[in-house]
This record gives sequence, C-alpha cells and structure tokens, in this order.
Amino acid sequence: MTRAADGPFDWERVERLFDELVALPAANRAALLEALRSDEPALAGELASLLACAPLADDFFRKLPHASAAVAADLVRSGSDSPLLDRASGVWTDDHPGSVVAQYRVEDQLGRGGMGVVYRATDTRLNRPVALKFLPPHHWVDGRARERFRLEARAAAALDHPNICTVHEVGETPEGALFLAMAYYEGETLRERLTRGPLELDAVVDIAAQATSALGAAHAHGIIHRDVKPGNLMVTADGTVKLLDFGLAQLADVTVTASGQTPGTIAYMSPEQVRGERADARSDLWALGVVLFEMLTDGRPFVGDSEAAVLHAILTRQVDVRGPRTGRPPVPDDMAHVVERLLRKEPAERYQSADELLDDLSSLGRIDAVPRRAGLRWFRLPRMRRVRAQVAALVLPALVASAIGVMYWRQSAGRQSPNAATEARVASLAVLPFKNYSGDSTQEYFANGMTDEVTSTLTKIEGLRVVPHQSVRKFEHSDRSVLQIAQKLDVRYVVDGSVLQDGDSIRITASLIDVTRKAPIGMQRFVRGRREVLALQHELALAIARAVEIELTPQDLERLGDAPPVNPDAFDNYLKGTTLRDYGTSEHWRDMSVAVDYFRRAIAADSGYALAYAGLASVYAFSGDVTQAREFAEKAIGLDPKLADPYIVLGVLRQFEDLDWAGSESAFRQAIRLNPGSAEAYHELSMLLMRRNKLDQALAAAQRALHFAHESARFQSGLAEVYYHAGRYDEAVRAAARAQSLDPSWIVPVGVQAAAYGQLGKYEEAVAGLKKVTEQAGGDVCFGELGFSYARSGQRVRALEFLRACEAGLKKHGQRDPGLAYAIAKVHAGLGNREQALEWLERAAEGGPRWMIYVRVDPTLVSLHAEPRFRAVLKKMRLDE
Amino acid sequence: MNDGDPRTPNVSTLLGELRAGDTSAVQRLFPLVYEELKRIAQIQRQGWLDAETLNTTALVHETYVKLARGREGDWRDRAHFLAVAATAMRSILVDHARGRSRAKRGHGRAPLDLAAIDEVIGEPMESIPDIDVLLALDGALDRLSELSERQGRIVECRFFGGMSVDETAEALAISPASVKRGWAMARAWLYRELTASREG
Repeated sequence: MTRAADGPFDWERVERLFDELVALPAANRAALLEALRSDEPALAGELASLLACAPLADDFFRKLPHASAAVAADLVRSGSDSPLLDRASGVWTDDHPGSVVAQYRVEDQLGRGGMGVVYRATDTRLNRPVALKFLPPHHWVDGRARERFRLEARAAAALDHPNICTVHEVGETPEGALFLAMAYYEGETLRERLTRGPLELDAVVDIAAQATSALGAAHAHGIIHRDVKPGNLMVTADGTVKLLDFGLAQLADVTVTASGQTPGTIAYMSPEQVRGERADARSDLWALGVVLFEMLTDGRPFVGDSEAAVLHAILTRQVDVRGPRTGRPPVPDDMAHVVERLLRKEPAERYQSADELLDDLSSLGRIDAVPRRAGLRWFRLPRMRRVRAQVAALVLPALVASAIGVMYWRQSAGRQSPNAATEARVASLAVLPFKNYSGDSTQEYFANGMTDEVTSTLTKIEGLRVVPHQSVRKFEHSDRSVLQIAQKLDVRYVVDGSVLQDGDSIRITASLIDVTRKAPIGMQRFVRGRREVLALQHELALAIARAVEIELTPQDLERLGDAPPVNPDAFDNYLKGTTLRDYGTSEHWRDMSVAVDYFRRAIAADSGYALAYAGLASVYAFSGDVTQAREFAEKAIGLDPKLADPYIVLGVLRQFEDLDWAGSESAFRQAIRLNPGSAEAYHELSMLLMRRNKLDQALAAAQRALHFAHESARFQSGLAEVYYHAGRYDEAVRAAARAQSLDPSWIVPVGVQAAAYGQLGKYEEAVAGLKKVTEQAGGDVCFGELGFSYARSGQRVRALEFLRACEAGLKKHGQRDPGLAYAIAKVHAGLGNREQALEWLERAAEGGPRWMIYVRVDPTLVSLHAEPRFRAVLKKMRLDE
Repeated sequence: MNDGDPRTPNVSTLLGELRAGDTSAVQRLFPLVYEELKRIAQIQRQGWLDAETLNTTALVHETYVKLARGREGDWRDRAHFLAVAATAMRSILVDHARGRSRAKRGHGRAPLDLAAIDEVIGEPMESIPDIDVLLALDGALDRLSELSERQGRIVECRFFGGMSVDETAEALAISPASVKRGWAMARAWLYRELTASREG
C-alpha cells in the first residue's frame, strides 16, 4: 500500500531508485541525481537526503538492538504486567492447552459465555480434574469488584452440599486474571438439555427439588446466588443437579439495570431486581420459578421484542402456565400452582424460603423414591402415601435412573473423559562437578565441596530427581560430552558451572542445560559474600527449580529452612573435611584422620557449626568409633534438626550397636523426610528392612535408591543383596552382575552373586566366586557361604577342610571372633549338623550384634528356623517380631 | 496434544491457515504468542539470563519452538509464525517502554539527541534513554507504515523478529530482493525521521 507522503511520491519508485543509487560510486550517483533534479527536483531532494542518511542509518541500526534488548531486560527485571489482553480484544485466548496456571494444567476449553471462559484442567498436585473459570478481563481491574468477587467466592467455597458445585479456590494469575477452580463434572447444563426436547414431569420436579435444596443450603449461609438459570444448572451423568457459579453474579453490580447484566439473563430477573432494589433469597426462588416454567412449557414466562419489553413484562404481566400449548400435555394443576406462587410479583407472596418450596415439591408425589443421598432432607412423605411409596420404591429407582440416564447422559462426542492418572511432574537433573576457576589448584576442594553442597540442597526439593554427587563424580574425568553424561545418568537437565572465591565473595556461574533440546536454557551468575554461602546455595537451588518449572511445596521450603550466615573459616574447613572423606586417596585411614582434623578446626572456628559435627559423626561411624559417632550425630541434630545425614549415621548405629531396629528404621525415615532425594538414606533403609525380613519394603527402598542413581554399583549391589535374602536368587545374580559391570574392581557384588549361585545349586560358579572374594579380602577371611557351598554340593572333604581352616583362624585371633563363629555355623548348617550349627550360632551371638544382623534372613540358616534355640537367638537379636 | 479435536486449533493448524491466506488466523495467533512471550520472560525473570540484556530474537525463536511443540513444520511455517511473533514482541516492548516513560515524565516523545544515543548504546544499564529510543522508533515505524505498509512489516520482521531475508520474504510473500531493498531504504528513512525534527 503506497500513499503519497509529503508530496506525490510513488514509494515504490523511490525505493527502486534508492536501491540503484545506493550501490553506485559517489561520482556516478551525483551525476544521476543532477540529471534527475532538473526534471523532478522534489524527488531528487528526497533521494539525496535518504542517501545521505544511509551510511549513518546502517551504523545506527547495528547498535539499535541493544536498545530493545535493554528494554526487554528491563521489562523482565521489573516484572511489569501490562494488561495482557488489551490488544487481544479483551477476550481470553481461544486456545490455552498445556498452559499452567498455578498448579493447574489446562487441557481444553469447555465453553465460553458472557461471564468468562471455562476450561477443563488437571490439578497436578492432587491428580484430579477441575474446571477453571476465567473471568473476562474487564472484571480484573476494578479493585472493588475483585474484592467482592473474592469474598463471595470464598463464601461459596465454604458451602458443602451435594447439589452445589464445589469451589476449590479463587486464584489470580500473574497477569491479574481472576479464575475459579471448581470441581469438574461430566454432564450437561439444563440449558443444553432443554434444547434437546421436553422433560418428563418427574424429572422436572426432581431437578427443581435438587436445585431448591442447593439454594436452601446457600441461603442458610446467607448467600444469594443471583444468577439462577438453566445455564447454571448442571446435571451430571447420574442425575445429580449441580448449581454453578456462585459468587459470580455479584460481579455485575446488580443494582444496575439490565445493561449491567450479561445478555440473556434478564429473563430471570425478579421484579425487585428490575426495580433496582436489593435481591434476597426470594429473588433466587423467583428465578427458579422461571426455570421451572421453562422446563414445563418449553417457553419463557416473560417475553418481549426488546430488553425493555421483557423487563416490562416481568413487572406487569401475569404468568400463564396453565394455558394450552401445542405439542405438549397441559401442566398439572399442582405444579402450576407452585410455579405461580414462585412468580408472584410481590416477594412477600412467594415461598419465603427454600424449605417451604421443598415441602410443596415433595408433596407433589411425583417422585416417591428414597432419597439418593444422605443429607437431603427433602423426602418427608405424607403418611398416607407411605404404603404406595414402599412398593413404588422398588420399581421407581430403576425407572427413574434409566430415564435419567437416557435423558441426561452427555453426548461426549470427541471429548475425552477426564483422566486422573497424570502424575505430578518431576524434573530430573544432575549437577556436574563445578569447575575451579580460581587458577589455584589448592582450591579444588572448594569447587568439589560446593558441588556436593548444592547437590545436597537440591535433594530437599521433592519435585526434583537429583543424581547423587558420587554417581556424577564417576564421569568427572571421562571424555564424554555433557550430553552423553546426561544420557548415561538418565537426566533431563544438567547444571554445569564454575565456582570462584574472590576476596570476600563467592561467585558461582551456572548454566542449565536441557538435554532433550540439546540446548542451554540459560546461564546465571550468583554472587554472595562468603558468609552468605547458604543463601547462595538456596538461591541457586530455587533458580534451578523455577527454570525447570518445578514448583516448591511448603514442605520443600520447610526443609530448605533459613539460610543464616556462616562462619567462612568453619565452612572452608568443613569442605576440606568432606572432600577428603568422600574423595580421598587410597590411604583411607590417614584421610579420615585428616578429615577429622579439618572438622575439628571448623568447630574451633564456630562451636555451633552443625555440619562439622555431622561430618565428624560420619567419619567416626565409618571407622567404627561408635561412641563418638553417636555423640557427634546427636550433637549435630541438636544444633540443626534439619540435617539428614546425622540421622543416617544414627540409623546405622542403632542397628549394629543397639539392636534397636525400630529406632533405626525411624531414623532412616526421618532422614528421608528431611531429604526426599537422599538415595543414601533409601539404600540404608533398604538394608535395614531386609535384615528385619520386611523384604517387599526393602525391595521398594532399594529400587528407590537406584531411581536416583542407577549407575551406582553400590545400590545395585544392595538390590542384589535384597533379592538374595528374599530368596529370589536369579534376580540376585542378575543384579549383582549389573553391579559388577558398573564397577569391576569392587568385590562385594561378586560375593553376593556367588552366594546366590550357591543357593541355586550352581556350586561351581559359587565356589569360584567366593574363592575370588576370599583371595581379594586377603585370604584370611572365612566366608561361610563357601564352606556351605562345599557342603551342599556334596564336597564333604572340602567342607571339613574349610571348617578346620576357620577353627585355626579362631585360634589365631582368639576364641572370641564372632565372624568366624558365624561362618562356622553356616558350614555346619550346610552339612546338616544342626546341633553344632546352633552352638556356633550362639557363640557368635555372644560376640555382639554386628555379625548377627543377617541371621533372620540368611538363606544358609534356613534349615534351623524351626529350632527353638534358633528362635532364642533371634529373640536375643530382637529380630523375633 | 490437542490433535484430535477440531475445536481446539493448535499452532500448526493456524500456521497452515496463515499460509493459505486466512488473515484472521493472525488474530487468533497473536494472543497466543503474546502470552507465551510473557511466560518465557517470567521464567527468565527468575534470573536465568544475564540480566543486562535480553536477546529478543532468541526469545522469539524460543517461543516458536515451544508453541510448535515438536511439530516444527518447515521453515516456511516458522517464517509466518515469526512474523506474527515479531509484531507481538514489538507490542510488548513498546507497551513496557510507554509505561516506563509515563512514569518518568508525561507524554510526548522528544526527538533524539544523536550524541546521547551513541553514549547510551554502550551503556544499557540505565535504560531510560533506551526507552526513549524504542518509543521514538515505534512512532517513526508507525509513520513509515502509513507510507509503506510493506516496509513497516519488513522492519518489524527484521528488527523485532530477527528474521533472515528469506524468512521475511516468505512471511510477507515478496521476493528476497524486495526485502533487501525495502530494508535498506526503511533504515535510511527511519534514521532521518528520528533525527530530523530539530531542524524544523
């Protein structure tokens, strides 16, 4: 489209000429312009000025995107909310699927009307379908209107009645859109039903009675509906009537005349509303009268060519419900009477309450069935009808039900039924080891430690499935790409960052990568002073959660807790301690004592530093110093009850030291409550449950641990153990094999697998495996399973040899080695020497719980289970539940 | 996915309609895009982008990916979509700028001081001058569009949408050569418009 601007320029011509001229060298250009000037001076002038601007314009436009980028950034920073839909003509978008509003995910649109649009949505928190009704935009901005709406909706939400549509909540989107979340019902409105044809009289009364019941409940709470009409009465598939849209009629200021109403509803206005007077309960009943009239006669009581005419009719015309109508049976007298009374011009002459109306409706005798639901008071049959009622009660429900079924079943062509089987969303992610950007290799511990701390913080958020840092660590020096690592770890998102301590501040730069899209979602810098490192972790965790669109629950926030300032020296030493503890050298014991030193220094810097105590507890637990481990675990918990790891330590100690099985279980469960993403806690729990012979639960817990870290040899091995003790030997073999493939250098799964082979009767494999384990363990240790396998496979000589070796070992270590005694017991069990097996078992039990924790579930001892002495041992171990 | 139900048109259907020349599809697409852009901006508001500048082109392309939801048709569909998104992006930015401007000073846009622009473009933190720039551009673009709707659209696509010459050509149903010519002249014209007023 071209139009002359400041003169009769043909825009396209100018454009073409400009294009020609701009490419020419200056001299030629000048010449051409001169030539043009003599014929068309204005055009030449225009071109000249444009050409003069061209080079400057190029430069200008090269820089200009910064301006729009800056404005965009400003917009994003300021969070400004311009009214979203001014430009979209004030009507909510047609197509909203997949959008998320608070915890609701919109599925599809159900309908729209003057009062807004209704969508079917899924409440992702409670896994149930809801109906979301959005108010039209012109309602959003009036503060008073919003407040009124909220009050009314809240009141309506408090109503609990089978015939009132349940309101779950009133909400507001960030754009300021108001919505109601309501229960979703499959059915149709009365309006829709009426378009399909006439209703049976019984159905009419039934519907009226249910609607009246609803109104009665609302009125009893002081709530007037104000918008009773067929469009607001829904009939569900089983014939229940639901009254909808409480609280919405309040929005349109009802004292305003018809123009304030949504179109079509003036037909239901009562005379007092038309006159601008206050509406009360009786106005609702009037509207119900109009509805009743429509149901009975297929027409409206007050009609007119214009709105004004309708209003006039409402005020002055006498209602004619008894008159003959074509194609319809006449309305029975008793029903006509009800309608007429409902539609009296003077409120004082109508039914004064819903109860009164109900009495009359029920005395119509049309429905003699028993009440469908408790709480409905409406069937108080007059005495004389009772006999008939009892007979009828047998027959009618079926009739009524089927009639209702035929009439009210929604034709759901093309619509899917609400599917409640959608799961709340979980986002899976892994935090890659932070890179150390300080240039100082002695700072490695800081990068490692921060990675672990951040990972740990993230596990407190239930909506995230976080891979434990130990599992991620395995890929630290691999040459795989980030995407490959992510695929191995089976995560959707990866956090890839670097950390730097710079003077007094800590700086983390992190990218969040979406693996499925193979692209970063974004990158952010987080900078805080050293004292605020906890706040820094929280900030990062929250930013990650938001970026992957996981909403934090109140429990998550509770678990995260506050982020009080931290003593930087204490934190530093703490990180050094944990790094050494978790990733030390092969000189374990030395590492542990150095770690202890660091933790102690942390405590010296800050005597209330709970994490340092937790660190001490874990190290002492590992090294077997039970007293100190317990002391420090309890101290840590005392200082900070939200720490999960000390509970894990306690859980282990309670098993091995106290035989407090219940106490152990509760400790692990507490750890899980505090850190729902703690794979470690689940693993330990699974081991405990296994030892207590709660094998199904143990299996579930073991699988849960793997759910977070299925690359973990340790957890796979744990799973193998559970299978083994549950008697599922084939599965044990397979799980153990997986564990071995994940970590070929670790010997434990070899042992588990071998033991399982032994139970399967594959004695060759069993012996080979167990021998291997024995060798690796230093040749000095006795694995009872090996002797057991010899015994069971009929290699009696070998079995006896094995026994002798064990006994020799006993002599060497002093007669009190419970481990050896336990092994010997197993071999005897395998040989069928029950007496001796029990004797050795009892000796082992005297040595303390540590070796006996498997006794309940150990397959090699199954042959002893019936023996009283065995049960006595169990009792001693408190495993006799 | 809302595949089966013809009553809930999805973006791909709308794009198909756009291509077939049904311009009312723009009406329906616009609020979708507008809203998606706001939504992305909100997520990113939580801090995932460097807060100093926001690459609006990336944002627009991001919107397409999200809305097309894996059914990313061919590049032509994308071009049409981007053209609409560009308009939406312009609206969002200008809306915001206007709001800011009103807050700071009243109505009316003073013409630009070039020197100020030069200083300002390297310093995006204080965004007040950027707001002026954007508003001025918007006004000038409106005036340009009255003279040549095509050039106005080209500027929208190229500048606000970050679209390539080919994409713009596809979206506007003109030749790439047309796009290049139009873009060149539009820039010169806009520049002149933005800087001319002092001279009376």
